[in-house]
Amino acid sequence: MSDANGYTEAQLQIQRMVREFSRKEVAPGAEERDRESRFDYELYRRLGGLGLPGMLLPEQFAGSDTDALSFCLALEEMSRVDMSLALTMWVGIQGAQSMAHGTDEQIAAWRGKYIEPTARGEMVSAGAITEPDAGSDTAALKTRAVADGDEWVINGSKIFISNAGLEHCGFAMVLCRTDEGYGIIIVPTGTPGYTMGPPLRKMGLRSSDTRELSFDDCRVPALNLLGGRGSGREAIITGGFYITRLYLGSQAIGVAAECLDLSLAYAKRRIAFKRPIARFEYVQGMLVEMALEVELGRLLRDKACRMHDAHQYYAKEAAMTKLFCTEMAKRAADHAVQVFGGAGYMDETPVSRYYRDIRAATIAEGTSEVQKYIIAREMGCFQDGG
Amino acid sequence: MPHIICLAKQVPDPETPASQFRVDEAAKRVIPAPGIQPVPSQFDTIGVEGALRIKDKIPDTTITILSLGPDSSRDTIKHCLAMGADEGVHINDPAVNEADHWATAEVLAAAIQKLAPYDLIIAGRQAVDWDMGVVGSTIAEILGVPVITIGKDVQYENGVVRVERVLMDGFETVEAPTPCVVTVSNELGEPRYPQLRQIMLAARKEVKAWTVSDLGIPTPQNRTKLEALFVPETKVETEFIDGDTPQEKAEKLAGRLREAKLI
Ligand SMILES: Cc1cc2nc3c(=O)[nH]c(=O)nc-3n(C[C@H](O)[C@H](O)[C@H](O)COP(=O)(O)OP(=O)(O)OC[C@H]3O[C@@H](n4cnc5c(N)ncnc54)[C@H](O)[C@@H]3O)c2cc1C
Repeated sequence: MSDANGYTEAQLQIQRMVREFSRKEVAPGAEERDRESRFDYELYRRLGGLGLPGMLLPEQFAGSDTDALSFCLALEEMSRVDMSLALTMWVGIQGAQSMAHGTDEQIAAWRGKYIEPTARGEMVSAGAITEPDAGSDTAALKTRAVADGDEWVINGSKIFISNAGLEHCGFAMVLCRTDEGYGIIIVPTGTPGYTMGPPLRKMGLRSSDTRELSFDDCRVPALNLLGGRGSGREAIITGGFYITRLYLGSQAIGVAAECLDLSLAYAKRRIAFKRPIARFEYVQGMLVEMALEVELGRLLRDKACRMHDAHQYYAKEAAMTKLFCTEMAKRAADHAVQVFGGAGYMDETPVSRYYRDIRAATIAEGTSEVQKYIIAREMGCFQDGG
Repeated sequence: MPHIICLAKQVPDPETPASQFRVDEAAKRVIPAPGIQPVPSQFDTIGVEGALRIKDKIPDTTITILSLGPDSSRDTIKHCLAMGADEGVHINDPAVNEADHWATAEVLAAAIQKLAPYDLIIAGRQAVDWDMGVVGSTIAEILGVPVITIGKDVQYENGVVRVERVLMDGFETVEAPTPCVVTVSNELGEPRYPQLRQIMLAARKEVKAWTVSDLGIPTPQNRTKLEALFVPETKVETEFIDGDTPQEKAEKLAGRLREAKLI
């Protein structure tokens, strides 16, 4: 059985459970957590109890082995009420996700220590790629890892890194330059030489943690290079980027859908010139555009997810999803503030938080400009001739 | 190995905004609100929660979910399975789609007999769509077993059920030998959220689909007839009470309320 979107029975059950949990348990404190820039560890453990951080992990790692589309539907529902929490979750599982594809030796070393605690919601990880002088231009990164006996010695710094400063962050996956090209190295929190700055003050996403990290002769075991030496490390790096574009795209769909629902309800309630403002064509124009773009975003995201789940190459669809969904959600949040009028600018209505939160989405995980470049590349624009 | 049968009905989402609630007066039917999925009746998932609490204590308990309804009711059964129930039975037969409470109870009682042996039947105190609140008791009547209604705590031990009941002015605890029927109220507590792992397990579980003829009974006939179905018109008139001081306003308000025979 499936619905008009073609979601399976299990996908619909997951969607409904996360929707209910988000509305009843996540939404009530979201505004306060934002105001106090506070992360709720107890709430995260409850996500763990439901099995949400472990959704994508295989059953042998305490996961439930769902498809990516199910996880995206969960992120969409959670982002409707708290974008920070959903961001922390998908960023936070990336480490365990990558580890589960490690060598047998790595899995044996990491399973009980990192992978399963992540699935249970007891731990998160950080992904450290961006540097002060290397953002979109990842190739300019300077952080270096040098092999020394059976250790890596890491030097460099990273910036705008989510999750690293959370109490339950077990490790960072650090993108480094090595003698053999790029590699992702696992650096456990607390490793001597690995330090971090105070939480950065942000426009939005305030209950998620963002910091600057530095590595100063930081030593970790040779084993900690993801995928091991000389094997398909590039594939791990780029493959990881594709899927996270769908995650952020799904977050954006959730925000846009919520902005639409809130705006529509408000427009039908708010009276001006003796009638509900939903009767005015200019207001309808905003509502219609939001409704249309939410639907389009979902279609694109669902297609990209299904390609991923069918093990097809989906670099273009992933970039399109990220580009379209985050840009349209930015417009939707802007419309929502407009529909709410002065109230929309006040922190008493959630739309002002959505407007601030969504602003990061067209920047993080590859800016919109970078996504356009990728789409153009995938379209063959850089290959001359007909 | 206790066997608990939980009754679960699918209903239109009670959270549907009032502005989208419509009835077809000619057909005497509720028109499903577009785009809003039906949901399990809330008291029924509370019943499943009650059964799961017994299973938490006695792990070899088997919980069977029984639902009568159209194709979409399968979703309600899957939801209850995802909460942690073991088996699902769906009575899906157009001949009883319009069953009244008596016909519903007859069909469910026959299904329960087919699922025997059983120790406990748990139902919600009422379905949140029609709010009749009689199906549980009627089933007990047909099966000739005791019924305890509006429970807030259900304990099961060695063939005896102990239920704390909600009364108008307090609580009372009653016992009954099994098998028996218990209906539960929201005071029992929130139903648990389905966990991911359970959702995935439930997705793989087969739901038995039966028709009335599988139950070996003739199609039961309704005993009640729906005469009319309509949304009552509510008129709201606002009247502002003016006055120079709060005291004067209060006095005027009291006078006005007395005039309207409200106090
Ligand atoms: C809330 C938040 C959380 C983040 N979390 C993480 C994290 O966990 N880990 C992590 O590694 N990073 C994280 N980042 C960093 C993020 O990935 C980078 O900010 C992003 O990749 C852009 O890099 P930059 O800031 O250096 O901008 P720049 O690369 O300097 O870009 C500046 C502008 O120039 C444009 N531009 C750059 N190159 C081109 C080009 N070739 N063509 C056209 N336009 C171009 C960009 O699109 C942008 O508009 C986070 C950022 C935010 C805001």
